[in-house]
Amino acid sequence: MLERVWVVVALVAIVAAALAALPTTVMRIQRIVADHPPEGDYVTRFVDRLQPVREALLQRQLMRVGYLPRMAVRSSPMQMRGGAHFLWTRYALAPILLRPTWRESFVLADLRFEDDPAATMPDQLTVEKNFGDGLLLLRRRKPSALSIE
Amino acid sequence: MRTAALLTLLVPAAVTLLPLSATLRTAQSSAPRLLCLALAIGLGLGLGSCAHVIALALFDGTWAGLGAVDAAIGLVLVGVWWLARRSGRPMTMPRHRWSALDVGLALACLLAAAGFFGLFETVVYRTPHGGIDAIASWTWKAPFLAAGGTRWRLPFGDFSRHRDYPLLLSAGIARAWRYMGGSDQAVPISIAFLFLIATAALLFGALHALRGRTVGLLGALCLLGTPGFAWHAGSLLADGVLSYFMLASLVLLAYWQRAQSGWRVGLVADETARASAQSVAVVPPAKGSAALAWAGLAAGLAAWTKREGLLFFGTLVGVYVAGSLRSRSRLRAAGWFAIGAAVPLALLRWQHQTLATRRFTGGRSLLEVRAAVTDPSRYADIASAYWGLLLGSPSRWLLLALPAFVLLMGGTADTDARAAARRAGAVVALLAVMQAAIFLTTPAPLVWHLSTALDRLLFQLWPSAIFALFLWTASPDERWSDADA
Repeated sequence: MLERVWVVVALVAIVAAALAALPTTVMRIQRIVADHPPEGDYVTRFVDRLQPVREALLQRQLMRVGYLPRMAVRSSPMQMRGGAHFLWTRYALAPILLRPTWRESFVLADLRFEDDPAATMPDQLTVEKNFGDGLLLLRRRKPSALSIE
Repeated sequence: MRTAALLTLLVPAAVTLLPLSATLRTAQSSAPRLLCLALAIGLGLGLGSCAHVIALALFDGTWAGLGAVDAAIGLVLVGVWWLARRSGRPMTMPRHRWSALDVGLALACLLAAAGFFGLFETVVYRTPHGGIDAIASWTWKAPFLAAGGTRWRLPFGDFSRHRDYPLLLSAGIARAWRYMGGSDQAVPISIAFLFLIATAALLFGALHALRGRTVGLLGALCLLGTPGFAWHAGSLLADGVLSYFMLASLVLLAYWQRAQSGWRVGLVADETARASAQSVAVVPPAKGSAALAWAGLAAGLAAWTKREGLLFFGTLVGVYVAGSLRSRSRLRAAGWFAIGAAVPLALLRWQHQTLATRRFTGGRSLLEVRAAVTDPSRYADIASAYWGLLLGSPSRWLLLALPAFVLLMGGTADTDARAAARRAGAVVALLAVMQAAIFLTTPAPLVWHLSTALDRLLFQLWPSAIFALFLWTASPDERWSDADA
């Protein structure tokens, strides 16, 4: 008899423990819904914003482009490539390789958050195409043949 | 679009199901069918990923090359099915009636599944591009691999982080995109969903086949009662895929061990189930070799999924070889395992030799490693993170109830199952220790590394841990039979 009781206790314990996570799961679902609007999360909006750039670069058959981020993170390519903005931009542009340097023939500049975008542009680069919203395709004044294949 | 993605992904699964069902002897019972289906989904997607990378390596991913490699792998699979079908004989499985307990557990599983898959759906609907690792590595590489030509080598250049990461997930996404002719986000989401549902089905199907339906339902309930597992799958990372291949390897090795002793299919030790069995058949010993080859493939695909998978592969081989040193026939059987693992391991070696070099220690010198290992504060940080995860997890009650369940129920009388469970448990325990050792020596800031990776690493082991525990533990029917006796 005692043996049967222990089996029942063990079964009740395991079922109750497995279902105990349900209320937390429901709360988690509600939190995700509240934090992420149905029109798309930040990454989706970021990817959508870069779609015209991606299509233009694919039309030009570019294999890779450099990246000119906002002034504050330009000091180090190591710092640049680990930043979320760089990773999202790189993700949105694939299969074009985005490199964390502006020493390329073509460079994508994302100057959306700069107060004076023109003042932050290196002298060696000139605007090739303005996509709006701070997105510029820049060309090196003396292009290297390596970037166009 | 998700339907198109699912169809594209399910074709390799359907082709893999043929030889799997023939060599593992699917029969009348629904459990082995479910087991084969769950295995076919993951192994098929894995083989499709291998085919895509072979086509890239040999033909730069041209349509002709892709077709040729797909046809070659398809022919091998169909050939295996044809040979196994000709030499095999149909087998019948015991059919067990649904007890009141089974019905109750099934209802609990449905309830838990609603929360589990509801969370997954919410995560992928609201954050369809997944977590930062999916964006930085797994999904990011896929458009390059889908494009082929000269573009596919670009993500392995000098500035690319994670260039030594194995390619199963990225190439699996790329393959589907290539066939669909576009890069729809439905593909990575569908892959994550397929692996998630296949993991749950595999756990249930394997425990059902090896220990009976009640134990299968208990195992599935424990996985479905872990919403964090579904949340990570929804982040589109490779950890869920890796956990599937770990589980598949252990299941197939347990299946092989059972076949070695000429298992009575159904493998149920309890008298009730035995009495209700309509028929019992014996698996011919030769069939065990097929399970070993599939186990080798699953373990190889684990290594082809994530770097931790290589650690799993080594641990698995070590535990099984150590347990087989006195058995010459088992050492010979290792050949079958090696045949299965050959393709993914060869691809991994090729990737490390031609595309990227490995960096296990992240550039740490031996002196730095020694300093980290002898630093007591690191042990305290690691212990604190494990303890915090245990207490803070929504599944903390399950983590406490599982050991209590095992203690109350005791071990099964089924010696084969206990032996297989001991080995599976040894693999899981060794991996858990090695994961802690990785944190101890990590070059990254320890607290940050623990906060971003600890739960993911533990979830990799979770389905395998549940499998090992329930394989070892006595079923309720067994205990009730003991009480009656």
